[in-house]
Amino acid sequence: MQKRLVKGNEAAVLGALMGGCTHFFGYPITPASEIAHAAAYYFTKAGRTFLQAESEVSVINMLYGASSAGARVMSASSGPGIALMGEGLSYLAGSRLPCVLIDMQRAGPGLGNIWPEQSDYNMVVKGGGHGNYKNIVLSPDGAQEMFDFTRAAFSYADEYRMSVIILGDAYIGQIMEPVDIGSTVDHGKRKDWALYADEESRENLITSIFMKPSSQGQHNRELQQTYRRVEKELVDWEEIETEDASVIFIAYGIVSRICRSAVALLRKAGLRAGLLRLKTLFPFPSEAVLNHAKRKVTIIVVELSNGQMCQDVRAAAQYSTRIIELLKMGGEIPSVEEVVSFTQKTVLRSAH
Amino acid sequence: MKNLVKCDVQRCKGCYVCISHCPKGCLTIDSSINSQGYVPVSTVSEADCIGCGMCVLSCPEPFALKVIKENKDRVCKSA
Amino acid sequence: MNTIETSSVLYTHYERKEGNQQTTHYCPGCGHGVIQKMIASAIEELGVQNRAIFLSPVGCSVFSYYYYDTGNIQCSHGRAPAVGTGVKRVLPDSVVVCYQGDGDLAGIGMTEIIHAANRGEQLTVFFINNATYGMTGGQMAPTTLLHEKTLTTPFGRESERDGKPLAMAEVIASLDAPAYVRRCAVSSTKELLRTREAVRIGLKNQVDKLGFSFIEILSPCPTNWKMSAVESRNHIEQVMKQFYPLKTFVDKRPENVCIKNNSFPLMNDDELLSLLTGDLTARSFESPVIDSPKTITIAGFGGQGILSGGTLLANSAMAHGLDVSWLPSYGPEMRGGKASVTVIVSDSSIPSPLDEKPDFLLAMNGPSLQYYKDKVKTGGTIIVNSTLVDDEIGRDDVNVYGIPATAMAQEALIPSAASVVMVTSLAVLSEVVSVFSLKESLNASLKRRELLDANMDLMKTAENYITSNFLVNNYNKKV
Repeated sequence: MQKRLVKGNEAAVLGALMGGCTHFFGYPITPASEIAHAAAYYFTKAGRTFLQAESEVSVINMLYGASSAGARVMSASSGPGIALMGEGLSYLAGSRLPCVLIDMQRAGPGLGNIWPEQSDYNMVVKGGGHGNYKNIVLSPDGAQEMFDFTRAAFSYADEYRMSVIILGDAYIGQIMEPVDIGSTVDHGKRKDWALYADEESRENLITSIFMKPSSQGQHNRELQQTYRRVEKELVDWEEIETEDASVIFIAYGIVSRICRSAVALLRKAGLRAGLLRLKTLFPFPSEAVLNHAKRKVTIIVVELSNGQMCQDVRAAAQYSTRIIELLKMGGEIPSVEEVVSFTQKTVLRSAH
Repeated sequence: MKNLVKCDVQRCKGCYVCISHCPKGCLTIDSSINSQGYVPVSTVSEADCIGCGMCVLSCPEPFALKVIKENKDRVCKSA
Repeated sequence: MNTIETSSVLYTHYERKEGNQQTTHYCPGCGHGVIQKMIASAIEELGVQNRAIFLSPVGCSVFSYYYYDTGNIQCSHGRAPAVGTGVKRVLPDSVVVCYQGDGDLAGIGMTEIIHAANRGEQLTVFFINNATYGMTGGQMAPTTLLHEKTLTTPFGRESERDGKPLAMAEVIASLDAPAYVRRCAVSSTKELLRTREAVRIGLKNQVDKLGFSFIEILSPCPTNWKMSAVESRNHIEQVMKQFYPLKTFVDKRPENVCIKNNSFPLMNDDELLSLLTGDLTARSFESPVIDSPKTITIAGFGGQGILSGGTLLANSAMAHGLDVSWLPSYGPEMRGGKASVTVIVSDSSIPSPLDEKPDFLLAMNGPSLQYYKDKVKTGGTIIVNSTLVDDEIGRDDVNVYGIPATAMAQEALIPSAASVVMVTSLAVLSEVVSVFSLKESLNASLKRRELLDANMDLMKTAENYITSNFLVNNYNKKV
């Protein structure tokens, strides 16, 4: 196993190339620009295509065209850029086109700042544009998963004909870790619905318009069936010391790593803590949450937002246990020490 | 055999642009109404169609008009 | 028997359409049908039906895919040039018909059209200018003439309020890249013939890979203009042509410059893999004994090689088979001169990569020492760059060492390698990584490989300095 020390942002580009991606359309935005920088180098050098578009709106539409033409395609941006891509994401969903995006979240609303937040959760996990659609959303916790998730995203996108969004944050992009890039390039196959500018594919039509309510209704129902299939087949999470835990953190991304450190310290101090780390956000690991909620553990959601992900935790837990929020915004992140003392105080309070 | 303009009356929407583009006055407004409620064009039998195809070129509706030409050595042409 | 008829590139029966499948959805006398028939004929004549991909816009021609027996993509409003760019970058031999109306192209899609034209994308754009938003019922378009009444200019378009009509062909012609820019009209017999010629040229240019072709076509909208079909053609002839002159603005066909493909050759899997793994050779050494994860923060200012010092340390730890994380200071402050990186090495997977309580602080200037010194764990170690730092530490629960890193690096003529001295000192003074593995990892960590020997010598100097002078527990004594 050969490992390379790689930054999260660069690992995503390596993962994309190993996942058979041939076209990257980019537009600069901090903290996602490094992904475009790496793509500009590696994609170009490898004889693939990197093109800097004139805006995020153009990016998503270039992806729409290139995906229509059967290619494995991607881009990377941050909250403001992803918001601009909303209409295009909706079109991709309506036309059932596969696409891979990376959202390195920054603080908002508005221009906000470039420090990490997890406040794009609702926009990305719930859809982002208009209409009844979903994206597959993966949340890596380091450079290796930036590679692995990006590589896998292309086969998920093709399999379900959906957009896959990798929801990272500034820290996950900046961190450099050993990454195993494997040895197999997954090129994917010819798609029977795509346009290849040949006779065989001439009849194919890429569209999201269905004029009759019954046709649009049927199209929508088929999309929802795909989403149910995704929920069954792709849901993924990691459990760390949850078996005997009386307190369980639920977190993703950089926060999940802080919580992992807190779990170790709390256990040393005699408190049975555990961590449920979310690897997929849509599909959301609802069953895993419910299982713990039924055991009446105390759930502490640690999140860099106003509780966007916590809403899904509450829905999944069906209000069957106590759920407490430790929320940070604006680029602040909780220290391990803060998570530990917050937890100890919380447990102490509930004991009285 | 003379050149001949043929109108598919079910496709014609009765805009009469073809009439204004015909240099020989081969086309006129028909007396019938088609199933869509349009009054189509029809050909003037005594007129001398030169087979220029301007009617087909100016017509907005695909396949509503075609010109059958007497000259056999010219290649089939679409407009 | 010879016939003149509609091209078979259009379906004769519109199976994708609901309701009457024999006639188009266009109003009687609409210009779209005229132009779309011409495009179909040109596709047939060029023999590119299988390669053709028609981009339907938003507007009345949104349903063009009902009619074209070609590949079809329906695009969002105004974005067809971006979608076409995507298609062409994947399928350079496709023939993409970018069909757009005036609201679509000159309003919401102005950005996309300008940039596609400016890149000289291999596209043929048909800009159907009927000076109104047809499908939404007849609102003002960017091309609506002055004083023209529309639903949103019920008293007429006023230049003071609404601006003047946009002449797109002139705008596109002002760019350097386009190969062919022309304005036509489907009004008179003469103009119909010219339009047919322009449509053919525009598509042939794409087949010949001559670059970007833009054909603006003044087209009637009898319904929204509230005119008969024939009157609407006269309106183009008598009114629209006055403001929108019909002419060829750009025609680079005589230059016959086929756009060159300057891209790198497509790598096969083996070549790709070697590009991605780089020239790193896998090395592994016997792991030094570290009983628990170690956090090392290197801090100073930009130009001291802080980040690459961290990379050297991280590569070296990785060579020992340890897990490692490297997290830099981040954001605008990087541009403000402050720089730091935190490296954590561990024999198990690393949870939080943050710099909360370093075991080791390599302080390369005064401010960074002040900022981090109290965060260092009790029993931890602070190594200071004694060339630049003579501050009091004020702690007696940590080990302190001083080494004149900046002076040594300057003497070696590689001032940006001061961090190499610091990291070497760490290797000598601790068991985090070995000096041997640091040296072995140097090549992979250097951005400027030509400085390898100089860096290697500097490491030796640092190593000798520490071993001979040091293992004295108070840097102030040394300085």
